[in-house]
Amino acid sequence: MKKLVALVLVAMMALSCLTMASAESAVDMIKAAGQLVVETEATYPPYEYLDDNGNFAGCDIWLAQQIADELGVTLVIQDTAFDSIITDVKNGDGTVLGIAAFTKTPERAEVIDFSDLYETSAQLLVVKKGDADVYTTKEALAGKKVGAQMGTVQSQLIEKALPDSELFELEAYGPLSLEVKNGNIAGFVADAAVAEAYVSASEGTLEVANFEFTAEEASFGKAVVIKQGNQDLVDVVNAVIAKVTTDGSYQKAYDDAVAATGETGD
Amino acid sequence: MKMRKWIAILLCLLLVGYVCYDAFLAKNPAVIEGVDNMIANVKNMGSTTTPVVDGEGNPVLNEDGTQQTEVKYNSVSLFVSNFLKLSLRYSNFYTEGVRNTLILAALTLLLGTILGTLMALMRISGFKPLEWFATTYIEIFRGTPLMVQLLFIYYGTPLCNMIPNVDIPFITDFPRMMTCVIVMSLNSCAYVAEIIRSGIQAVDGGQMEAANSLGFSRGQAMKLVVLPQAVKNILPALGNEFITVIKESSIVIYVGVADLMYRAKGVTSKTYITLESYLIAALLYLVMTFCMSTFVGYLERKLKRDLRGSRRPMMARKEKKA
Repeated sequence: MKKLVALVLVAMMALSCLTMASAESAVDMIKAAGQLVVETEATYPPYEYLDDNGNFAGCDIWLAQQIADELGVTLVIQDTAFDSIITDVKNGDGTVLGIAAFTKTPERAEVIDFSDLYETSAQLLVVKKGDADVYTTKEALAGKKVGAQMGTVQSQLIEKALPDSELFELEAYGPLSLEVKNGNIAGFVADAAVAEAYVSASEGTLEVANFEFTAEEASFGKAVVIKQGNQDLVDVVNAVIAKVTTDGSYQKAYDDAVAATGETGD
Repeated sequence: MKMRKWIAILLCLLLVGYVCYDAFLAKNPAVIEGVDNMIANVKNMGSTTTPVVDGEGNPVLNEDGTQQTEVKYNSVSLFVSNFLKLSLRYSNFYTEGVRNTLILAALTLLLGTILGTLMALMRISGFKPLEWFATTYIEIFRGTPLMVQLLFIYYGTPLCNMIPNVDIPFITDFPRMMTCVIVMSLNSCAYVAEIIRSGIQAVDGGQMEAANSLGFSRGQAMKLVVLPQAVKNILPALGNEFITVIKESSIVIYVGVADLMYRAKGVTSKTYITLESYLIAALLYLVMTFCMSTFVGYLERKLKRDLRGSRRPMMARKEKKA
């Protein structure tokens, strides 16, 4: 029995030694591997989505490609659940980037590093067709269910800005839009471009409500997610972001993506 | 068996204690402060504070001129402190999750076992159309994934809208929860039916023949001779199915019902602490399934009727006579 206890304690101490950080820098590891791995969840047009041929498309994907080109490596995209991306980046080796229209928040900044902001967007409430003028104030939404994706700033926004409404969380926006169409929830909150993409894809069953969040509640700047302690990678990403935001190429990619999702109804 | 019974009782008491802590103590500011202090103390156990130096070895200073320090936490103390933080400061999430999981599982087991028994009787009834219906039903509901069944029935049929929105204490969203209970019961019914059928058919055919030759009708023979013996075969597999239902109830997260897994994921997405959160969920599931399997074991002993018949061995009976 004593030996077993000693063995268990040794195992625990050995495990705690494994927390040593790697000496190689993230940028070097990426260049050595020849590929940049970016995690995202491709259900968020126009930022990231799957186009008709099943390829990843969207302005976030475009940005990821710019970063990969800057590092001189190939881009590998991993599609995973949104709420696991931050924990994957946090627990990984520092070479994985998370680009999924992440909003920079203080709570998130405690566990991972953010790049500079590459885009800011307003938040919109999407409701069933015909309810656009019903749900225009916080009082109208009191006691009703308002949806968001689990782990997003939109769910935090609903908790803070709509304390009298009931937060309803699901894994993705697809089922949320179904719930709105079926009338089970009043509406869901999403970034402006995403809300418009889902409305245009809904064949007239959804529309944007005339509801406005105040500016301090809801202007969300988007940034790339990087593991803490990899300042070199952050610098590379910031350089790319500075370039694409000043020369207008990101805005063009964004507009193209919006147009593409509007046309194909994706 | 005695030891196991006491462990199950202890675990149940711990669970009840946790629920009471959450109901009465968790919001008390004095308790919160005490808990936060304890967590901070555990987190700092074994941690090392080193002064921060830049590339050339010069000390890096804060804005007010003091030496900047970097704290490295011992990973075991960090793990334990996170575990305590989640279980004690987010206890309302986990207890609500346990409550909903228990409600879902209990209703599903009740409805599923009743339906499963009916389905099994249909299956062996000897009446061809009933048998055919039962076999098809079992094939379909065993052969498709539970998630597909749930999403199909929830989104594809108007079942959820047909259930009235009744306000019952402790049940948060009656139509949605009842839809989930119905779907899981339909699924569980197929498995229970097969378990009962195989238990009945495992009883030696000679028993039925002997009962018939003694003048019992088929129904009487089943009730008085075959079924009591079949119970010994059925219970272990049925216990398996009960435990499966408790664990499978986590499927409801896909339609937004706030069971234990949903709440555990919610805590993870708020705090970015994954391992400890899912460990708490796993331990809570373990408590529930352990109690269930202990109960099934108790039933097995109580209902055991084998060819030897009486529970007491022959020797003890002789002594009593004397």
